[in-house]
Amino acid sequence: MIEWNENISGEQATLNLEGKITFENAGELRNRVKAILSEFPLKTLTFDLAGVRFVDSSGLGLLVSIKNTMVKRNGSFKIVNITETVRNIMNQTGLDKYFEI
Amino acid sequence: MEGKGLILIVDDEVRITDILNLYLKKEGYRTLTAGDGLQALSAMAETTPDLIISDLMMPNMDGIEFCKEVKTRPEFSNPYFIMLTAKATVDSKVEGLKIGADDYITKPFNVKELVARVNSAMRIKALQNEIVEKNVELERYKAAMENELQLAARFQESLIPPDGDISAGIRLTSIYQPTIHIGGDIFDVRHAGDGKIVFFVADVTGHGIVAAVISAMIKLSFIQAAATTSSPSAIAEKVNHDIVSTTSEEHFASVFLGSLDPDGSSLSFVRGGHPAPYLCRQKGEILPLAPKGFLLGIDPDAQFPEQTVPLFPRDRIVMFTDGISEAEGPNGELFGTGRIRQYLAKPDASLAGLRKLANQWAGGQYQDDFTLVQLEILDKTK
Repeated sequence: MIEWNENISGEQATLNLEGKITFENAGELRNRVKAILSEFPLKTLTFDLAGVRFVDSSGLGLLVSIKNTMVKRNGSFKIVNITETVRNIMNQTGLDKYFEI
Repeated sequence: MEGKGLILIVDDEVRITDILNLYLKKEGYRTLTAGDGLQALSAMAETTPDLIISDLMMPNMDGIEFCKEVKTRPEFSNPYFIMLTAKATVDSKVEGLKIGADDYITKPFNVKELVARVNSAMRIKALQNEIVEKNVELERYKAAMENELQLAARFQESLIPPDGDISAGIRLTSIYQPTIHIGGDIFDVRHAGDGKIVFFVADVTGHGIVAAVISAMIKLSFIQAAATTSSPSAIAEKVNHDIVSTTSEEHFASVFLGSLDPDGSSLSFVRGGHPAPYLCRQKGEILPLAPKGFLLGIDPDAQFPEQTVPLFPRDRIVMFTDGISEAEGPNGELFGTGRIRQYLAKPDASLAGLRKLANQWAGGQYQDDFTLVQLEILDKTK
């Protein structure tokens, strides 16, 4: 189960997510991010993960592909406010450096 | 007229069968009439009606008996059953519904209302038939897919080495449990071209069919690399390249990869974003094997720094995938690596025991594939 609020203004957008990012819902989130990126001229996309208590490997895959997409359009992707469990997952996989958390 | 369906009218009052016959024919239905349940059943031996309008009180076989027969015999393919009754009592309605009548009309009735109910019943019946057909189709499709998955699962199992002694000094034990027949976990142990023993455990993003296909590719890439080198970092670099160049950016893998001297005296290893395995020393010490290293399949230039440790007889290397460490307990708490480590410190710890513990934690419900692999250094003095 994943829910989020969107704050989009100018070239910046922040998604405040809540729940778990997993195999079951990564597709839903991917579709929304795609739609936002095609609709707005974003340069910075931020995921606030304060309310996210778990990310599985499919969720990590989605985050990696969002970062790659943002880099390709000369923008940046930031992940902020991660919980302890998510920090452990990022540390174990080495993605903490990749996302500059 | 063919298209509107066949209606069987059953009543011992000819006045009623006549009037219903007249109105339903005018509406475009084909009709049959019978004077009681027995006559109706013999008519149904010849042809199967789509809908039956039957009186409740009749000689020989009454409406309730008749309805029971109709609804319990599959060869009649469950026609819609409207019971006509003079008794507007709650009792007879309840009894009728219990034996499976679909609708009730109380005598005396308005013929136009009855025709309207018949029309709506025929629409319901048509929809029911459509659903039944669709269900049969879906069941057939599901069975075919299940069969495909079973075949794929058998193939994937054949990719995994069997338990047993890999060399005179090393024994393999494993537990492999995908979520839906096949999965993204894979491992292998084999002799490298130079005689050393190389092994890996990998977990591909997600689970299911795509993950399974990528896991097979990783094994192939590993086999190719091991033919020419036993260096864990060199093998990891080649596998990393192969994943980067063949899969989408959302697909990558966490890997633990090592090489052993055939006599089991030393272990070299790299870790690519994989949960750190535990080296369980015979004396009870537990060491996480956690060199730094990034997931495979994202950065083509990733490096995998290698570490080496000496091994002693009866040491065990216990590797696992996050399906077990991230197994969720009843309140959403993860099983965690701490519990794995704590369990492995017990003198009688085994993979089966660890699985049992995780099963208890997760209530047998796993969101992800899970794999346990143990390499044990044999005590040759025994």
